[in-house]
Amino acid sequence: MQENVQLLVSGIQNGIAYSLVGLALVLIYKTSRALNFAQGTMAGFAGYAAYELIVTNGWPWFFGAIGGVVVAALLGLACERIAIRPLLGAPLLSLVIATIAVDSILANVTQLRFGTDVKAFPRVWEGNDFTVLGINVGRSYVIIGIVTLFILAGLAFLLQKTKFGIAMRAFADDQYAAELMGIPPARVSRVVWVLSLMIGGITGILFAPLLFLQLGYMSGVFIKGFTAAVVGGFTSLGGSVLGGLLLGVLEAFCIKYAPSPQWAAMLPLLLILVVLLIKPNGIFARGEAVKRV
Amino acid sequence: MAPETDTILELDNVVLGYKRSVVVHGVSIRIPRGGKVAMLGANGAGKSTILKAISGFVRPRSGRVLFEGEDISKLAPNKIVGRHLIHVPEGRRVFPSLTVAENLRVAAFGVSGDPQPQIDRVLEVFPNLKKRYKVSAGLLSGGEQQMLAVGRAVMAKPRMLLLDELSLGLAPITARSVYAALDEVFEDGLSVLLVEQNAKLALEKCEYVYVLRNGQVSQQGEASDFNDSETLRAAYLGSL
Amino acid sequence: MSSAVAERTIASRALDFLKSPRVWGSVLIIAIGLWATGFNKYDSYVVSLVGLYAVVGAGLVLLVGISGQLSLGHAAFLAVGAYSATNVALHTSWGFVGEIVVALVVSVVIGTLIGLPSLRLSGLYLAVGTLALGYAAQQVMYNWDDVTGGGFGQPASADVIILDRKYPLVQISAIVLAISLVLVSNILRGRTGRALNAIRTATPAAAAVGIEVARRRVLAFTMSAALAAVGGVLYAHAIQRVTPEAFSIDFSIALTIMVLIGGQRSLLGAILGSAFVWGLPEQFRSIQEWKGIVYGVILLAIIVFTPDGIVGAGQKVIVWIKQQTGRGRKEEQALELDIEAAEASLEELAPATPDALTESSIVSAAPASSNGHGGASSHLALTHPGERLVLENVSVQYGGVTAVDSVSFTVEAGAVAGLIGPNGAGKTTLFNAITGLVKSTGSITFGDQDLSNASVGKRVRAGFGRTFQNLSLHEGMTPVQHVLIGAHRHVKYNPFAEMVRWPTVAKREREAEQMARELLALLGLSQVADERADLLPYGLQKRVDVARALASQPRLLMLDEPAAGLPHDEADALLDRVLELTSVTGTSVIIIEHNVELVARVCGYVQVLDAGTLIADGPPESIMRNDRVVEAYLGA
Repeated sequence: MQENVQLLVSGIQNGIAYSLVGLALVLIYKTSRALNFAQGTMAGFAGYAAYELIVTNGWPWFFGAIGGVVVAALLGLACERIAIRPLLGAPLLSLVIATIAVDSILANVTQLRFGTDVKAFPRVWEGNDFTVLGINVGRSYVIIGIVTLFILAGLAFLLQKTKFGIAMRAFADDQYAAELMGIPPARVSRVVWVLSLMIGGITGILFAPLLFLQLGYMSGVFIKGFTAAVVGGFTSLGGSVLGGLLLGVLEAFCIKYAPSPQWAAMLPLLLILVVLLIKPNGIFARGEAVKRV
Repeated sequence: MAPETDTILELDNVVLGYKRSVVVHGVSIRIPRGGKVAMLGANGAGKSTILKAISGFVRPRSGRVLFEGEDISKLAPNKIVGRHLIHVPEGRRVFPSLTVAENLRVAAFGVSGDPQPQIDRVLEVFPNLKKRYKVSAGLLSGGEQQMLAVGRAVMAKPRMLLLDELSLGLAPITARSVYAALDEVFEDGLSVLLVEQNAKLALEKCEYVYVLRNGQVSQQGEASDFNDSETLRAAYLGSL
Repeated sequence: MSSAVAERTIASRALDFLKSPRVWGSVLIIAIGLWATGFNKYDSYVVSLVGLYAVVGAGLVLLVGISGQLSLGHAAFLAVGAYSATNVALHTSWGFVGEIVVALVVSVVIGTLIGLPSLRLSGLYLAVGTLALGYAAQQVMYNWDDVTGGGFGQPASADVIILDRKYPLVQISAIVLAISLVLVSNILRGRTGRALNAIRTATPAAAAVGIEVARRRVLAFTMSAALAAVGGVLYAHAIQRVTPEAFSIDFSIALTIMVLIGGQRSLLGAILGSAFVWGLPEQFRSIQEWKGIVYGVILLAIIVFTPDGIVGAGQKVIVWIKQQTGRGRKEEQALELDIEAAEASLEELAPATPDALTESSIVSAAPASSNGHGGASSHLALTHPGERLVLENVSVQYGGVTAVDSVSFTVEAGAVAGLIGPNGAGKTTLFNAITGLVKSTGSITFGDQDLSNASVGKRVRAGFGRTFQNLSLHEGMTPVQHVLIGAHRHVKYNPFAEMVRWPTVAKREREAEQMARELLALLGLSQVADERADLLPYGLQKRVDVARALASQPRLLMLDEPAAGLPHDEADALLDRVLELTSVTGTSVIIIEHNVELVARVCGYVQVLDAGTLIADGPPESIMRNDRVVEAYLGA
């Protein structure tokens, strides 16, 4: 029993991370109708940038981290301008390819600028992991958990209480009607990308100590966050959070109880695929009028 | 050229089309300041397209749209909202995941100032909305949604309103009650262009009428001229 | 009864054969393969790679470009082929042929298994699904030691063994590439290629003429899987040690990027893309470091400026050159003249009298039974006699709203009925219920067939045909191709015959094209039959929509707002012409319209809907004066 609770906790720890990534992706999808394939690489770039500020330039940890987040925000702005705006109204496939192109460029830039060696990212809070009621809780994960809560609270505040946040929700509901209210689509698009990439940057920086700075270190998290968003239906922020947690927990249990290693790695993904096949729009998506073709 | 102080909106030989088809073949309309004008016609006549051209979603192939003397043909929709020319779209299109309160607030996005006086006014005119103030707009009935849509328009302190098919999809009684409430919205000085399929409802509120057929103005005149049902009937159903 | 299909001399057929790109392209590729045998080891390795990637590319052109299904995990199928090769070499002595056969069998099985469920996903979710599958497949490869040798991998020989003789890889690559290109090319110009294009460009229209969307898509997926596997077999021999590391998501994405850069809808694009992505870097060693940036920038530029890749850019250049040399202007003028002639022709056509039509090959004179097709299947009969359509208490409900409420009416066989009503009355919903796009309660019978719960496909087979309010034309396709799409169900042959262009296939295609042109002539579209339909004036486009519907041999033709967007006289002329044609063969017609005048003129009987209920039905004169109808339109 103890073991299972430990698994649950580990699963939740990872799940929160996936949720964050999924959240950022859903934000963009709901407004730009685009899938940001470059999210993982951009998050990684933020990690590298922060590293350079902290380690090479000697900045205090927090300022370095903020610097990294700013870099991520700028990347988001640039991507929106270069890859998304010119493709207004293009089919989803084109937008996905465009972000794949951006990803390819950025990955190369990361390599050229920061090199291929593995670096250890300084931890902000040195010390051992906690043990609560016999359950091991990773120190870094505590931080990640707290930060995630703050981000969720911040987003909730923005979307529920601020004028612009409500405008963003309106925009996601019905773009045409939103424009009729005087909401400028270009501005909403920019803000959304900046927000999404700020979250991405935070994720990249928080994960750097755990995964070590190396090329493509955020790819795995990105893919998992991606599937978390899909499970959540890509329609609601809450959905992607739940999706992430589900994925994390599922993964933890599968790794422990699966018959052999290959299944352990594959099972969570297959399970998600099965989910998709039963509910092609994700578990939490709303139903649509029946269409038979 | 001396400013036309008594015309608030003018369409000057406007031609509109989507891709390869021409939907509106050169329409000219003039609306005096403070006037209440109806645009009638069967569906497909081009009425909604004309409203979209006025509010900035469709660019005229030729011809101009002038609001208060200014050529707005090429302006983006949010700029037109900033000039207090407000379009209430066909099919209501309230934001389903936002509450009534949020729908009203967001409608003030394009204009400056404290929205509270406007909100108070809307709730006064549409007491139903007051009752459902915190309810998600997606759960409202058709009639309530239509009132919310009109209420949103009021939030932007309009100098001119474009109303698109208010009665569409509503039961006759509901449509009547929506129109009845319009009296309080149509205070003096507000200019209105009302597009409707339901001619009788529109005629009760308007002084001047344009009848559209196949993308052209087929008839126009004082509303009183159209009280003869035969003229209207022919306009919609054609002559045998 | 049928007009003679032009007999062509043996000489002219031989000449056409030699001129076709299929032939000299294959010869060229094989020649390059032979020439490259003399290269040093490294260069011939590069040529082999370009060749085998082009094979994979051909499959992706079929899947991504033509069928419009994104796959971000195709490296998995390459792996299937590669591991097939290594295992066959390890455990048997079947040689190359055995490797290919095993690769094909396994990939077809897996491809079908994956293709089927992936149908339920679309767009975004399909991309995710294939991504996840690719990732999962790689994990399996790492862990399934028995078959893949795990992380350590399995070896493969540099040369290819056929019947105990060794052949250089580069030669075999060239031959395989040539064969693959010919096979795929035949699919592209056959009914499967047309159907896939139709599905991609206008799915509802494709379904409305009886194309089985799901089956075609799975077929495309499976074929592309098979081609990737064949490429994989060659790949094993090229790299000589197959490890899971190679088949990463990055690799899958690179494969997709390859066809996008080359030109996703063109086989030439597959070759160019392969050469560009895999061949060039080897030549420009110095830019290896900058590979990601260079590809990213080029890919972005292509997506934004020329979505059809290098081939598309090339086409734009050709157009530009034509404009500069004045040839473009001449072509434009000729086209304008053709369009004018086509527009004017409708009124000048000989009236479609029963005698005139039945003598042409278009109309089958054989009596039609209620569920069979009259005449040989290769005849493009224009229409078939209609049956009686009976609607009883048909209702449509969704989301708690009753859009159509207990509507009942009858359309007699061969009658022309109108369905009118104000905006929002439910006409479109009722229409969708009749065609099967939307679920309904109540009964719908056609002749003696109960179609109340039938699928869209079944209703089409029973004889339902329709036009579209928004035309739903297929982008980039000509009127001839539209008619051939419409006739899809009646031009029959199986995919295997199609791949090798069996003589019966060629014959059926020729006959079908002949019939198509005759049909287009009946609608005054002869002069523009080979121009892009989506670039024609609106009135001509409407005729193309009608032609496509007629080509499906409907017994009940439903016209969805045929007058919308057309000036009075054009609408009248088109409708009159269509009704001339259908009256000859006795096809039932339902016209959904807002334009009451037009409906009153041509329909014998009119149904009026308001707020989902039938408020009046009867002859036009009575409808026009009916108080309830007037009220519905003008308001109470």
